[in-house]
Amino acid sequence: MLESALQGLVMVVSWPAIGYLMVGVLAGIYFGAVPGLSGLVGMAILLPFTFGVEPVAAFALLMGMFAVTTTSDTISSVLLGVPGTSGSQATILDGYPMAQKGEAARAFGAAFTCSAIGGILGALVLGLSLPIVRPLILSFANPEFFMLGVLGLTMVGTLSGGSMLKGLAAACIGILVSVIGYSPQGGLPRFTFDTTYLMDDGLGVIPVVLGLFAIPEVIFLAIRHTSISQVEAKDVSHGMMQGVKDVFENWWLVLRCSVIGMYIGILPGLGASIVDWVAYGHAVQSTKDRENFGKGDVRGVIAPESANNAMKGGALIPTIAFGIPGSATMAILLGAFLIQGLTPGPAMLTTNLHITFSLMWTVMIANVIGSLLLMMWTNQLAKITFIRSTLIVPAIVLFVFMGGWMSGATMGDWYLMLTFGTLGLIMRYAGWARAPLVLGFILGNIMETALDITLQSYTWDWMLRPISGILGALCVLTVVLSARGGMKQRRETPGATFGEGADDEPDAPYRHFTSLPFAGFITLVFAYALWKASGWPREAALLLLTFGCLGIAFSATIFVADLKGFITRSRSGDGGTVAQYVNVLRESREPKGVLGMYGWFALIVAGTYVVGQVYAIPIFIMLYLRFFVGEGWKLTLVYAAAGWLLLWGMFNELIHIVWHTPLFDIFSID
Amino acid sequence: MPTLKKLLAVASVFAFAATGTATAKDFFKGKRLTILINYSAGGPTDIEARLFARHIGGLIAGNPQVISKNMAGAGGVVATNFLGQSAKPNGLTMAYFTAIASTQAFTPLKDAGLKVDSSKFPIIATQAGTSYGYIRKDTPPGINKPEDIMKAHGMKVSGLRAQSSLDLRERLALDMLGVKHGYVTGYRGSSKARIAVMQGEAHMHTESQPSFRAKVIPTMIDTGMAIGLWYYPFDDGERVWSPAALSKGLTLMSFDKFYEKMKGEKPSGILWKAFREVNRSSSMVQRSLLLPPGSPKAAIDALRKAVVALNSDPDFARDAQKTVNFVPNYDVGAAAEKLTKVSTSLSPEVIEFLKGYIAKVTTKK
Repeated sequence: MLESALQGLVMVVSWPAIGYLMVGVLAGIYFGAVPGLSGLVGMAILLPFTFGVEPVAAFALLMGMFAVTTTSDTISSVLLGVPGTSGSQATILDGYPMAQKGEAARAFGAAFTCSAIGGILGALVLGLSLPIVRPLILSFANPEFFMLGVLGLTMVGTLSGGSMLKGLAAACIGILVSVIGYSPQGGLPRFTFDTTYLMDDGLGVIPVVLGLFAIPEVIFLAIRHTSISQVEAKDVSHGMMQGVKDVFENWWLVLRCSVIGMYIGILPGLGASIVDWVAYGHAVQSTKDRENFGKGDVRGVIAPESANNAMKGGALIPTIAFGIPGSATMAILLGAFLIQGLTPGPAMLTTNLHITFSLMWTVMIANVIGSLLLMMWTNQLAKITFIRSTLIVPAIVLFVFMGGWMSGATMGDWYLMLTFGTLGLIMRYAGWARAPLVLGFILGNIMETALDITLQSYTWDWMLRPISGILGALCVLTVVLSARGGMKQRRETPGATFGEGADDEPDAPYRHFTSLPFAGFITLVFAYALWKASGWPREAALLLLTFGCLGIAFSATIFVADLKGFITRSRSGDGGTVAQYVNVLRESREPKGVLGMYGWFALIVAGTYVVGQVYAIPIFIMLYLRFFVGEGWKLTLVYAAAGWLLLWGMFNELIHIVWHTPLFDIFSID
Repeated sequence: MPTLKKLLAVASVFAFAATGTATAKDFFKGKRLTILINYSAGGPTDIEARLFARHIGGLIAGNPQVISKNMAGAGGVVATNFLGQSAKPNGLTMAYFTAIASTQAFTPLKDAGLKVDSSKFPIIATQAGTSYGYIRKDTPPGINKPEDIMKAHGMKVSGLRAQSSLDLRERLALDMLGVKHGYVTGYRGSSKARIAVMQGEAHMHTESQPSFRAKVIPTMIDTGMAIGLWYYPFDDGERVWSPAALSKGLTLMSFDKFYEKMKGEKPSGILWKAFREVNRSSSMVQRSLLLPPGSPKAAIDALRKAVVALNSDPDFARDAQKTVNFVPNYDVGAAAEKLTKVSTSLSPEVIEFLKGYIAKVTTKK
């Protein structure tokens, strides 16, 4: 084994493989940094360049690229609150607040360092785990996947922020959303409203997450007229090196999250969408002082960023050893294997072990090079947070809309994103944490299929399968420890809340005005869903009936509590009457600003129908900068032209995306 | 004068023909052909379509630049609707789609959200492909050769969706043979169903030729975990046959031959009729190369010619063998149109039968 490991290393550091690796790393930084691109797009674009190249060099290019997309994806997560790839969704929870505190450089320092360490540790642990990889993968069947989903759901408490009840209700909303589309056995379209876009195996993660998190942030950024950072550059004391130091101070967390990431990577079908949430949840769960999570705690960046890079090495194993690609990216890599004449199978862990090791070395070296390169640019990148928002907003809008479009290249992606944007905005105003919704949405998909197959394929004794049993025990342990920790915290610091929806956020006093009707509305939605599901076959209804009942109970309880609060405040006149609230709204610029931003979004959508995105988005940039912000023509035109060039050059010429066919054909650029 | 008229008429026919030929020849000169793929990057359709895209450009008169674009969603239906409703009929967008015929044929069984009539698309070519069944060797009481399946008990077969042609063919084949089996469906993709067989969660599954040859054989058959059972024959509505390429390098029989060997008679009855129609709709037109309705004839002609040339292109064959482990062979023009016609609908009798057959496994409450 040692000999194969050394042989693999020599192959990777030899010319031309190392050259290909460098090119791959540069490409990977780019594909990760631009929201909507990701390693999948990178893999599809780079694959043709590997034809005729010898295997180790070809994989150095592909894996070099793939390894670092989850390093550079931190850039937009931290700077813009927009996840660069699905692997950095959880990073925004603390990364973006850090940028708002002027600590973007610190967040980058921490993220790039722990990404490198996570990547290396993940690959190392994987190398050591090779002998147990086969039995491990084969012992994780559907009962175990279901139990993993349940274990994941126990993290809802840690992501719930200000209100556990609202967090639980949000998770149930996520599960409700996860059932949209065909039932597991495929026969029944659920909540598809005769829309082809919805008749699929579920909604896309990217439009949902972009909507929930990025749309509200871009709206707030636009209407609050500040820079991303709410403190001035001269007042920032924590720079990049502080971030590096943070990683070493939290080495135990880095190690744990790397191992979590690597093992999640090994299990096919879990993948990037979930790994960062699990690591984030674990960080909060295993920490005593939680009050800063969601407000810019560096550990909230370290945990997901260690895990998402560590996952990459793990994801290789089922692909090459079993021919089971855990994701579309790995499916392309599998294609590359076949093109190179390498057959997936046990041989990759025996006779071709040196190739497997060469892939791991590639991942490790790429992680180090990628992180060092990004560190060199950190201070320049962080300066973006101090630019006034009016100049940043058009670029973010472009990336958010194109990120959403890349999901499926249909207008349905935009409508979905904007729908969830509205939901995210309301939840933010109502003090409902959004992270549990995402967790419920991602886990709902995994759990429903796993539960359905488990019930078809096993008798009740699946619960006694060793790993299912261990996972079940872990679930109980997690709930007990969380409850105990929560009680202790309440005893020590009564009334303290953390994360999204915490009571110390500026809009907290007026939450119940949004939360009350929202809770009522959600209660009705659950009631409708349950009524629909009551007529469905078991396989289609089981998950929804279970979590829908919980959801309706949670949301109705919130509604009653909000109503009581409303009545009490109204009677006491303690800052809570409707008249006072209306007054607050009237004096605030926010309602108008929010509506104004929706007007701009509508302009982009309508413009796309008429002239296509390649013109509609630059037109938006131009009108927004010139007439809304009041910039001069010179800057406006240069900005709009740069937007057009980006859309044409990158999305049309490089990535070859499918555009919407506009009404006026002459504007079509295909 | 009449002679002059005749001469003019003849001249105009020649002129038209010459113009037509020139148009077909030059149609793609200096242009870019976009190949639209109805599944996401990395899947079998995508890998095959990109392989096609790499080679077809040099064979199309005018040597256009060829690029590929993915438009996934709703089991390929989003892109199908796009092709029928939104794609420009200028000859510069060509679809490389999977399962378009079976989606159309299965619409009475399952509302897939198809908003267009896919039989209206101009057809460049189609490609047939089959699937291979395999089974774990430790399926009770032990399976060492395909014939042993007849005495299998406690066997579970894994599928994707009750309405999918993959599941229906698996169930119909086993029911025809009279093999008792459990049925576990809902796996999201064949790779998930394959790992279920590896884990012992299910015993039997069926996969397409490229997946069977490139993934199942090295990981499960060469390792002694499973054996191949049979493959499905080709069927154009008139005859059932099995080209030699399907069993190349394998010691497997086509399902119809296996049935004959086991039962001593040719298959017949409603199960066989349903099997044939389902099999035909999904295997004879496994891939379709199409243009949007109303596309210019010159583009259709040029593309058909190029695909004919591709069928005998040694570079393509070599690259295909390496990439997808088999060499796709395309039925072009009229042959493809004929196959599509017989594959895009199921007979009313079979639809009625299948509705009940599917309901048997999906109506549990």
